[in-house]
Amino acid sequence: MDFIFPAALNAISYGLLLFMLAAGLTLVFSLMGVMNFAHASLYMLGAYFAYSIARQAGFWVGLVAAPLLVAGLGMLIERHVLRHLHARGHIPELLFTFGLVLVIEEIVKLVWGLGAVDYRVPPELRGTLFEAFGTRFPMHKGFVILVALASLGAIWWLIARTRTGLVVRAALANPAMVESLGHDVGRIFTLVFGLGAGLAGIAGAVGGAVLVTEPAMAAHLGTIIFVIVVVGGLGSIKGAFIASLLIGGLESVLIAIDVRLSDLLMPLKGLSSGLDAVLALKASQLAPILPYLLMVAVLVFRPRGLFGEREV
Amino acid sequence: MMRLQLPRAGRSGYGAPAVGAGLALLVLLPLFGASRYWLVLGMQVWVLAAYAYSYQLLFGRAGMLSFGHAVYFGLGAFAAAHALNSRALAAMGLPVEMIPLIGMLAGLGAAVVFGFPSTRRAGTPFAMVTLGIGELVAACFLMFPGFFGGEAGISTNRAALGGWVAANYGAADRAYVLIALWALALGAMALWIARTPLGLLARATRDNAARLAFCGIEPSAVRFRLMLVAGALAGAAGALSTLLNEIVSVESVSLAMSANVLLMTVVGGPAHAFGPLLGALTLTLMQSVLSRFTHAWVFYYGLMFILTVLFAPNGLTGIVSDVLRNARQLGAGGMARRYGAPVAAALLAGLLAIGTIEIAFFRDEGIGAARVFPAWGAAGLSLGCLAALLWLRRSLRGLA
Amino acid sequence: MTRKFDRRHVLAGLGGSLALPALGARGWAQSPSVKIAQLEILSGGFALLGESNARAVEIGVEEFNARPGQAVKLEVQLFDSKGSAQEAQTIFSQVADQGVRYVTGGGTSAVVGSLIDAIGRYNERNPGKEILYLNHQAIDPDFTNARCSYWHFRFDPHVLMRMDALTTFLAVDKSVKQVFLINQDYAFGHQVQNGAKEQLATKRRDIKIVGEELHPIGRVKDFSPFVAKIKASGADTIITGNFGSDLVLLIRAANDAGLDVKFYTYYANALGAPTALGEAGVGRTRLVTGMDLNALNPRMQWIHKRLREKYPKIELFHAAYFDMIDMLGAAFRKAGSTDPRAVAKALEGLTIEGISGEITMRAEDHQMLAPLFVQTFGAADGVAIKKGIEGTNFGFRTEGRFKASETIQPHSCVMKRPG
Repeated sequence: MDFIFPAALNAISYGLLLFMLAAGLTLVFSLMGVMNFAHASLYMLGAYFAYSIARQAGFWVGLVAAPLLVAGLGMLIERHVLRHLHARGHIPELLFTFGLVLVIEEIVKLVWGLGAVDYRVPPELRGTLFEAFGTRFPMHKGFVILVALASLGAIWWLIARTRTGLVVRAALANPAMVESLGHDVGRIFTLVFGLGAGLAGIAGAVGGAVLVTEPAMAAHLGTIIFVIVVVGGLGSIKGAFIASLLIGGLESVLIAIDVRLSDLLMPLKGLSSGLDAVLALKASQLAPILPYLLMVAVLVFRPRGLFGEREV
Repeated sequence: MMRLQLPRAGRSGYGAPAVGAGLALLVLLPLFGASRYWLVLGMQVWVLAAYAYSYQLLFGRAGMLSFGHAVYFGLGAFAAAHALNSRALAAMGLPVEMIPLIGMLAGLGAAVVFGFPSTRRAGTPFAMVTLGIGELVAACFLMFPGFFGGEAGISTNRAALGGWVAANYGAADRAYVLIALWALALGAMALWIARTPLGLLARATRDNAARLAFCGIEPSAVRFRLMLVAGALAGAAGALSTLLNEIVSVESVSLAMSANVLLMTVVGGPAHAFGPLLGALTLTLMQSVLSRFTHAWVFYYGLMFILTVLFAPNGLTGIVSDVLRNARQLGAGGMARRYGAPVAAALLAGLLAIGTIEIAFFRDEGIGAARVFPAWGAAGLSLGCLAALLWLRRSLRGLA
Repeated sequence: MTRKFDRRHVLAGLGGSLALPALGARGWAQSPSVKIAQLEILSGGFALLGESNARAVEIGVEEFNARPGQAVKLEVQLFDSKGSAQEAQTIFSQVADQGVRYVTGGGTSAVVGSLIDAIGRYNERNPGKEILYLNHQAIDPDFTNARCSYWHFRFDPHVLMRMDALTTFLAVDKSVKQVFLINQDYAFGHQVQNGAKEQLATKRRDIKIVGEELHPIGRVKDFSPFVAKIKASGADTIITGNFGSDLVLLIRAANDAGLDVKFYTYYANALGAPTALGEAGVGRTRLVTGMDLNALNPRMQWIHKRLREKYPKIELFHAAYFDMIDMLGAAFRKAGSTDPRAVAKALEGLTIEGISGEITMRAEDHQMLAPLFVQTFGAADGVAIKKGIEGTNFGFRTEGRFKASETIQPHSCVMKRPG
């Protein structure tokens, strides 16, 4: 118990950070059918923008301004590139966002250097929030939870409770009909893409400060958020939420339980040397591959994902 | 939409012999006294081309955008390394010429295992699953040092086994011929498969899977079979890479290797018979030659990829064949009048953009161009670049 | 010193791909200096390390060439190995074509290992054109043990030599009772973990290893679950070989959770770790290193100053580059030749004064014996800690000193000598 509780809180904090990314990705996907490969790159840009702004004007200004910049960038990309590619199908869109990943990473390296930059939470967030079971829970982790809940709440309100949201939801269901009712579906697309990018920007501005801001940060999270979106069910925000917490928690749990596979599968021991190599692994060593195993399993046994309404 | 373009060679009278003679010249490169470095670069082109041909079969024909093709390439490479190091195989008298077959078997085996979960779906889900499988295998890499050799990888010696034709293939020129011939064979196989019923069905799954299913053919079964073929070919290409480098390490199964084949295929031309070869040539030149002049080569490469996706969906081979077709119609003078301005504008814009980037980012190193030009040089160049882009836009309008 | 990344060639290089065949021969002929090809990882995840290596060697060579009466000058050609064993092969073939006889470089053991093997094969197939590999960084013990090669010389104490210094120092500290090992899940991490276990068992039987963790390299974003586990284990000391962001994040998570333990590390003085340590690391973060910056002899001072002027972002944290350059110079003099065969013979058993003390190249396995230092993190005061690093006011105080002769470890190398 003494380290399960802090581990759980850590998992929630990390899981919510992942969810901020996955929510934007799945929102964009359900509306436009575009799997934005560069989503994690936008997250990285959010962190670097926030770092640069924070150096001039302080952390809090960066926290607000960086996501706005990223959202603007996202809207530009949608308006001027993706829209034109859309006519040629999803594959060119996927290819384009894939190219963006490469180019954004190189730009970041050119502008901000190859190593990590010193982007940290401000002193007022550095203390301890509370102490339980002999472990301190740092304030910045609580801050991640707070920001995630606030921004996701705002998105939910925007989509579920406002007129714009109504049109967005209608466009999700039947874009042609919305178009003929006189709404500019193109603008809605741009808006939603900007929203998703903005969420990624917030996640970056917060995540970059709490974790580490470096050129590899996009590559580290990029595939994980795809896993989340697929496991949760393509287009399902609820699924993305559950999957985020699941995957965020998986690592913590696996590290916490100290077993080797051989402890679980004793009878298989000694059958072959290859199998023994597998069995000698500790549960925590499996942590990096488990999300992908989960994803493949989901796609084989439940192609629509945990909460997806349609098959992927 | 991409069109399936079969080799043009067969259609015009002198095409086939010309292409054949060109390929023969390439294969016989060592006879012209190429130094070891250029032979190694040449071998690299052949290996990557063979790899890209297997990918073209998936992506170019069936529209299957895989982000995990390196799984097959890498496993083939590891199998080949183990085969080269195996005393038992040496004792059995396995000739080194047959090593690619071992890679092929490994690739095929991997495709049987991983092909099933990945080919159940097409389109975006296929892309995601292959990405997941790619990460899965790459992540397993360091966990099983027994098979993968850990961080240092597995070292081998291509001269460890004897050959049928040559006594051994230790020397670069002999290895070059072996690798070039095998790569040609693999490329030809991929092109041939594309014209068999399986290849045509694959095209049909891309263009209209629902109709295919209606005709009683399960699209996922077609995709699975295609994956088996592509996996086997990629495995053989991986084995060729083992013969070339005499070491296999984590990068062979990495995401970067999966990305490389995608980039090569798209840049070269996903539908053209020479696309993979041209793509492999481009990547090798940028990676090994351009990288000696600038840190930003990956950036330029990414930019080139994006521009290809946006403006030249048929890749470099598409551009070349367009130019050749137009040249036949317009003649040299007509070409110059028609394309002179846009090409000049594009070149100018490109050069100015490169100058801007180099000055802006490498000034602090205080060397080369960055020292010659003052800081405001970057601003001036970028303005010039903007002007050139506007000129390009105008001249392109004139074209349309 | 000519440099490969000469920006002047960019436009010409791009425009003139026609001239490519000529590139191979450019600028190598008829120079009285000895050429060394340096392969570093200048792009990708390890680029910062590669950049540091390249800059430090550049300055080291500059200092070497500027010495009065230096008969043989060195000339380094820099290449980007991109962290790829395959790419390293391509570059090697180019270098061999151009008649370069000395190759150096750091980075991952995959790249270094592939180069050592490639050079072994090349020397076998091309007698009379032998090439030497001068290893300034890859500290996998295998390279001077099971995989040792006559053509490879290592100028950096390997993992177990460093661990020996670290554990000897640790054994004196009676407050250490329970040790936790956390390392990256790959060859180097495994070596640190096993080395620590074996050596602690012989030096301090009363110390208990209360936990061992291997985590994937460069992939853990949040170390707090590990820290929670370390805390629960009751450990008072951590031994880790982590570097770069894996070390930074571990230290940050430990600070956040208020984990009060001592850290014994390999790389706390480089690649962002000092910045991350800050106030919280003072007095409890230790490392083993070959570079005693606090000795600040004139040579070190010169190099430090020059680095500050030219590349303010690059830190002086590694001694092997400079020892390598010095040893090579000394071997040229001893052999009276720059031919790799004669130089290899001269290097064997050579003893000189290195940048941080007396160094010897052991003939049996080509492992250099060099002084090692155990240092503790603290505020720079200009006396015990001469320089703040990474722009911080913190540096490392030297507390343990081991002469080269005190770092000797047994080896299992069966050297295959030519002819």
